[in-house]
Amino acid sequence: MSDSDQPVTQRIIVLVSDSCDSNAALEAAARMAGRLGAELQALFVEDVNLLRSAGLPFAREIGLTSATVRPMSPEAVEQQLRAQAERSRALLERIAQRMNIRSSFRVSRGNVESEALGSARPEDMLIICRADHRRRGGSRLSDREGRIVSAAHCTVMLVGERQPEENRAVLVLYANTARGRRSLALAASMARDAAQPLVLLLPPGSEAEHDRLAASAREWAQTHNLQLRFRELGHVDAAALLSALRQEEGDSLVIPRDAAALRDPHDRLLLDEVDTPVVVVP
Amino acid sequence: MPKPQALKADQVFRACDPDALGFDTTDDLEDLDRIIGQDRAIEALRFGTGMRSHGYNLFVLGPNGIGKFEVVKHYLQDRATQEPVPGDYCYVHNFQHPNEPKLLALPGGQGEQLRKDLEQLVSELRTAIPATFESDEYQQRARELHQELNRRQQQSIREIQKEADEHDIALIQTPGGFTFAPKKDGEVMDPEEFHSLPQEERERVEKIVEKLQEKLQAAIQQMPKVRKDIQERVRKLNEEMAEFAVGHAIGEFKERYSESPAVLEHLDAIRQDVVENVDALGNQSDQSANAMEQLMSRYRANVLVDNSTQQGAPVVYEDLPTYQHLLGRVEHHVHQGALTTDFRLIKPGALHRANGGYLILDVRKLLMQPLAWEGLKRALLSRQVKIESLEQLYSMISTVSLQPQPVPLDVKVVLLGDRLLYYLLSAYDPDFLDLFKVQADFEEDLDRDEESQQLYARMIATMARREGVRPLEKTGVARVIEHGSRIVDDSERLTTHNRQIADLLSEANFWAGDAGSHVIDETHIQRAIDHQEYRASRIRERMDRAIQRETILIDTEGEATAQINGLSVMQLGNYAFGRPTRITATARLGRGHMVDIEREAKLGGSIHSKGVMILSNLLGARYAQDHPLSLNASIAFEQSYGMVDGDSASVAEFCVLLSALSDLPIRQSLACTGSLNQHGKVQAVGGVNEKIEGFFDVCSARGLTGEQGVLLPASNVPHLMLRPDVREAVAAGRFHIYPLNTVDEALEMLTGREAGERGDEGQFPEGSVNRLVDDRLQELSRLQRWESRPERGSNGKSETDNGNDE
Repeated sequence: MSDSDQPVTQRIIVLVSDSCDSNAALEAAARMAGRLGAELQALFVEDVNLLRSAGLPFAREIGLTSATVRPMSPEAVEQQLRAQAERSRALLERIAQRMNIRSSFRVSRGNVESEALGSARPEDMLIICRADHRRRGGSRLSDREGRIVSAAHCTVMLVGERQPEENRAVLVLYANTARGRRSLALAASMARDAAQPLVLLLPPGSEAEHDRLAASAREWAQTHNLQLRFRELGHVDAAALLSALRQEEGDSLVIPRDAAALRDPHDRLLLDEVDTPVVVVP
Repeated sequence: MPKPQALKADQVFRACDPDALGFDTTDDLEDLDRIIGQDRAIEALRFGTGMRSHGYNLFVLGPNGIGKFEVVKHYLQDRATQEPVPGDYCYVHNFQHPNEPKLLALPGGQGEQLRKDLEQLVSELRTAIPATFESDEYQQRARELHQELNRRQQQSIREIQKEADEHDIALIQTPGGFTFAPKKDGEVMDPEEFHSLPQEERERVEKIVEKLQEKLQAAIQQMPKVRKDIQERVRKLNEEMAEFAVGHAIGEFKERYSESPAVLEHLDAIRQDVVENVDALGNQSDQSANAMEQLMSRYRANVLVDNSTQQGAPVVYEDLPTYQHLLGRVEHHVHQGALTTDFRLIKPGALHRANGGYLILDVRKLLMQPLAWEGLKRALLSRQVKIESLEQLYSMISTVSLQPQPVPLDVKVVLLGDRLLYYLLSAYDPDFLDLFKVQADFEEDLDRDEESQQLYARMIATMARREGVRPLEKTGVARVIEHGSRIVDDSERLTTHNRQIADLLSEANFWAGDAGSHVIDETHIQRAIDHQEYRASRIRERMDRAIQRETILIDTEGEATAQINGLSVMQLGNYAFGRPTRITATARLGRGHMVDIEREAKLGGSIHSKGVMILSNLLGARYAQDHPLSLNASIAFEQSYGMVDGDSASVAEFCVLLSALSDLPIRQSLACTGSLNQHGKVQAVGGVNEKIEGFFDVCSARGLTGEQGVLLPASNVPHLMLRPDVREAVAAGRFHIYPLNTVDEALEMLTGREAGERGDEGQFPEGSVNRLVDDRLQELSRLQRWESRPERGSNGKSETDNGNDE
């Protein structure tokens, strides 16, 4: 494994939208920026579809909880979006000041997904928060997160509302592939910066395969002066990864995008159900 | 009448022969394992502790320092070891009525076991419950339910979305919900473009949107029902898992308590509570950690009484018997400025600790503590200990408190106190005799004979060892025995006042150490006695000095008319000393009025007045049977400025009055003490040793003439235990002690004349004291009659009568 495997994340872009908890996403993004020594940019996208629909003569909003029907107007929606953007900007400034990181705030108007993907370069890390389905009554209408994860050219981190805890392990699903090594390098740099334990999750295989995988990881770890711990998985589906996260009391999970747990369109556990941050390496 | 014979030296002191004791030092003696001289009290203790009926508690009477506490404690401890160990009591949480903690009664030693078991249970639950909820099985089942909820909720929305897609309508998320909008090329149609649509098209779209909105509304309204259904299933799942976790943990030690239904019932209540609170117990977030600890703390036990290390029945002495120390209390924690409590803060009182055994209390301390006496009585009457907060009872504080279930009480209370308190409580507290039916009255002295001296010696040996002092040589023991008699002012008795003897031993030990001796002998004992007296004798020496300087007038030689040396005792704290007091009398014509100047000046007590009345009547009966007593007389204690009481001066008062009447002088070298009855017999008085020594000291300081001495009642002779210097003077004939039986003997000794008895003609012999008195009184009577003639005036007043008899 060469030093070129070592990722250099130059910028953290956090997507602040109307459907998630900006505070949790900004906190997670600022912490990651601090860890990786990267610049933090918050992107607030005014959803053009929402603005258009508000302009229609029959525009109505149906309450998520109460099911009441309220009239909508473009002015009111614009006002709401501006206010939300201002709140997010103020929040970002406070967090950046507290954590002493460079930050910027950008507002764009358009399709949320396209704006997010369009603004991120391959060396960036895009942070998006999971739409909180429990808060939204369990209803998930679009697979925006899934599409961003699949299409992004950069690393994507999905965060939930759970606040991270000190000294918890960073877990990484390891495979002896280029993507697997990039995942390991990223997880290592996350763990090293916060002095967290690093746990390598080994996919099921023969003893010889495990030994080979572990040896390659150890060799890499030695050159980077890192302590590793290994955990063998029975399966590599989402449930097995979640179980490992729980048992290891993991702080975050780093996973290559080609992992089976992300490929199954019906198994959305990792994208939807977990509070723990999941970092997907393309 | 034969004159009283002066007492010999062996009559004024009963010595103890050291050689007759039969040992050299107290090291040769065995410990005395019984209490001497307290048979009555011990029998009462035996009876009182043996009677198990209600109300047979004991009151041990006797003065302080007599050793009541040690005797009672040792007796009870001996007895208690033969009795069974009582059971344990625990308080546990009452799940039905949280402010009324539940009492669990357990066999002795099981309380602590239960506490440990419940601690273990809590510890297991703390890990077992989260582990159960962390298990893959639970997570899987919970996830399935969660996914089902999502599926059911999304299904209805998806159907609406699908229908919307079919009509080219988009379902869009808004900050607060959803909205519908027509699409064009996959994007929401611009409003201007929509306006440019034909009217019909616009209406069609609006109708579809309206219909979709209604459907969406209906779908959202169904969601709470779906959620409720799933939540109910989650709750059932949680209960099922909790039941598994707690059932396993409890089942392990349930068998141990199979014979305690109350414990089993409590374990079931814990299991039920775990299941009901599984959400808080299974949640591992930091916020719920406190809630979980609070819930868990309710499963613990508070061992109120732990008899696991107790041998026999408990014997408890509570030296600060406050209400709370007796009946227990409920403590509080301060939490964020508020006072909170729970069953774990219930603290036991002495009654709890002594339950099943004996509780010793000092009644004086008990009565000095507010409400403690009433609290004790209430517990004994109801036969249960109920912990009540005094603060709440008297509205001093308003906070959450507990009403723990009362503890059944089976205790024998032994109160220690002086006699006065016993008699006062008997008279004024109607409950007292119902609750304390047995009195154990401690003797203050015991017979002194050969056998008791031997036992006393062993008691001294035991005490010396217990006090950690040097062994006593036999002469030392003999001197202690002699002093034991002196303490009770009786050569035929010995004191049972253990503290005084123990103090004497300790002090003698000090002086023995000072002298470099490894044993305590009589010189050390004597030095301790002398030093005790020296330390207390500042006032006595001051008075002696006043007498020597004749500031206080006391004659100790020569003769004087109407003046006599009486003897009195002054008590200062625990030190008493005697001193002579000059008593004078006057007599003149009058109407039979006897003035007791002390009483008139309100310096005389009622017993003294009684003595003066008796001598007044003796005077009348003896000399004025057939004519009125035409006399006004007065008696005074000269230079006495404090209260005088007692009748021990009545012999002296009678003699000095007769001296005043007969004009016969009285020997001032003698002092006199003794009380008088109406027939002229001399009766015993108290404090004779101090009185004799007091007069001796005055005479001795001026130089003994060989004439000086003391007259005292013959019945007081057995009480004499005089100091060595007095005994030496008596032996050498330089100081005399005369026993009196009648007042005539005193008159003869004091005047040197025959007292005289009435002859056949009713006359006293010529020249006798009584004759002179009789003649003088008859003369006064004649004078009175002469003065009362009608021609002397209608009011009958004489010139010599100044009206004192009015």
